[in-house]
Amino acid sequence: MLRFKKLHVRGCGVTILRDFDLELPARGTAVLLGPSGCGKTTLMRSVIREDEDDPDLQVQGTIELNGADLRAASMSRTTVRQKIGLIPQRPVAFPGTTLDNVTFALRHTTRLPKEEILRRAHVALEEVGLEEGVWEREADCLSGGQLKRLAIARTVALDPDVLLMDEPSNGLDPLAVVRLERLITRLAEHRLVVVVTHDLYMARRIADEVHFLWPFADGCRVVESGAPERILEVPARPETRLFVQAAWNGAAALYEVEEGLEDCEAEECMPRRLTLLQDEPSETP
Amino acid sequence: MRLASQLASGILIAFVALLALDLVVRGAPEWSAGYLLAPVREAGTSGGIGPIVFSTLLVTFLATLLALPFALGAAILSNEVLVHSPRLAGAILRSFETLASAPSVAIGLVGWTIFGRHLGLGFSLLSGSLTLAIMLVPILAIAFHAGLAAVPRALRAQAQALGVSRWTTLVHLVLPAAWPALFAGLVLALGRATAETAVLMLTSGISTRMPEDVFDPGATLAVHVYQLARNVPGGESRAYAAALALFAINVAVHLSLARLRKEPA
Repeated sequence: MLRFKKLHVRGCGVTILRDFDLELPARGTAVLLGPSGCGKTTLMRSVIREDEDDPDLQVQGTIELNGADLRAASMSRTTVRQKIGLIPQRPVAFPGTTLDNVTFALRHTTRLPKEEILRRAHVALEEVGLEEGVWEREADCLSGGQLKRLAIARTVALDPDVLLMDEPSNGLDPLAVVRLERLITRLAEHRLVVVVTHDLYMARRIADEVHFLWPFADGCRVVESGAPERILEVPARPETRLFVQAAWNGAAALYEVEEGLEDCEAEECMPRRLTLLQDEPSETP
Repeated sequence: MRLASQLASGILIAFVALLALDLVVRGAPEWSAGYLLAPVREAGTSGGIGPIVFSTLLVTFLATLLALPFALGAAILSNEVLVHSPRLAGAILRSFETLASAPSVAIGLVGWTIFGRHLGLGFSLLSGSLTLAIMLVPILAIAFHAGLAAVPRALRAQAQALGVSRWTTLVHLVLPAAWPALFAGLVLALGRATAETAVLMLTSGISTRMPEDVFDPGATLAVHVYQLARNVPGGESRAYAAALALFAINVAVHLSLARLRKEPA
C-alpha cells in the first residue's frame, strides 16, 4: 500500500502540492488525472526522492510503502528506487544494446551473479514483449513504442513493488497504446501501477481506481476518487465534470459545464475556469 | 544555405590542400633516407631531425598526460558536481576561457619562472611539458565541458531513478555518450601541443641534441622550424622539411586516434 500523508511539495518557489493525502492499494492500476501543471509528475518525483538531486524541489510530509517511511533517513535512496520504479514520459536509451540497457541497473546496484542478471533481464524483456530479435540491437535504434517498453523492462527487471508511469501513451500510435495497456494490466496483477495520463479512454480501459487532482490557488489536492466508471462518467465534483466533459466532448463542452462550476467555491474555481475559457475562440457560443 | 556550407567546406579543404602541397613541394626535396631518425647536424642545415621528433613526441605525450586528469576533473566539477550551483560552475568556465585566450608567450614566461627558475628545472623537457600542460588544461576542459553538457540530462536522471549512483552513471553512461566530443577535444589539444612554439622556446629550450632524460633540454619541431626559418642562415628550405614532418606527424596522430573514436572505453 502506498500512502501519502500531509504531503507538501514546493518546486521553483511555488507550492505545488499542499496537504496532499492519498492512499493507493498494494496491487492494481491507479490512474491519476488532472489538468497539466497540477503536480502529478512532481508527486511521482517526490516518491523516488528526486528532491535530493534537485534543490528546486522541496518535499515535506510522509510517503509510506506498506507502512515503511520512504523518506526516512534509515532507508537509502537506492533501496527506495529499487522498490519503486519510475517510467518517465520520454524515456532515453542508454548507450549500448537493448540487453545492456536492461542489465545496467542490475549490474550496478545489486551483487547478483551474471547468470541471474541475464535471466532477470530476459524475463523482463519477454514480459514487456520485446522480442529476442531486438535484444542485441543498439537501443537508440528502437522505435518510440519499443523504447517505452525498454524503459519499463529496465525498471521491471529490478522487480519493484510499485511502478509509476508518467503519461505512458504519449506519442504512441493506437496499436502501440493497446499493447501498452495490456502490459500495464499484466504488470498490475502483482504490484501497484500508478499511471498519470490525460488519455481518458486509456484510463477507462486500464484503471481499477481513478483519482482526480485539481490545482487550487494554494496547491494541488485530490478532489475525487473512485471507480473509473463513476469518475469518468458521472463525476460528483464540478472540476472533474469540467475535465471529463472537455475530454469526451471537446472544447464546446467547457461552456456546457460552466453552470456546474457555480457549485465550486468561487475563489478556488474561478481562476482556473477563466484560464480555460480564455483559451477558447471568442466567437464560440 | 546548403550551397554556402558546401562552398565554405570547399574553400577550407582547398586551403588545407594548398598548405600540404606547398609543404611537400618545398620540404620534400630536403628529405633523405632516415631523415626522421638521423641526428641534427650543423644547426639543422644538414642531417636529420631524429632528436627533434623524439622531443616533440615526448613533450606532447607528457603535457597531455599531465593535463588530462585536471581538465577532465574540472569539466566534471563544472558540469556534474556543481550542476545546482550554476554561478560557481560558470565562474570556473569563464576562468578557463580567460586562461585559454591568454597569450602563449605569457604562459611560457610564467612557466619558465615557476618551473625553470623556482623549481630548478631550467630549460628541460619536463619544464616544457609542465608549462604546456598549463596551456592545455583550459583548452581540454572547455572541450570536455561542452561534450558533457551535450549529453541529455534525462540520461542521468533516468539512470539514477533506477537507483544507480551519480558516479556510476557518470563513468558508465555519461562519459561513453560524450566520447566523440571528448575525443575531438583531445585531438584539438594534441594539435595545439605539437604546434606550440613560444611556450616551449622559453621552457624546453632550443637544443637539437638527443635528450637523455626529461631533465635535458630539447627543441620540438615547431621550435626547430622557427629557429631554421629565422635564426639559421640558409635554413628556410630545411624549415619547410621539418614543417612537413610536423604536418605528417599531426595527420598520423589524428588518423591513428580516429580509429579509437568508434570504440568508446
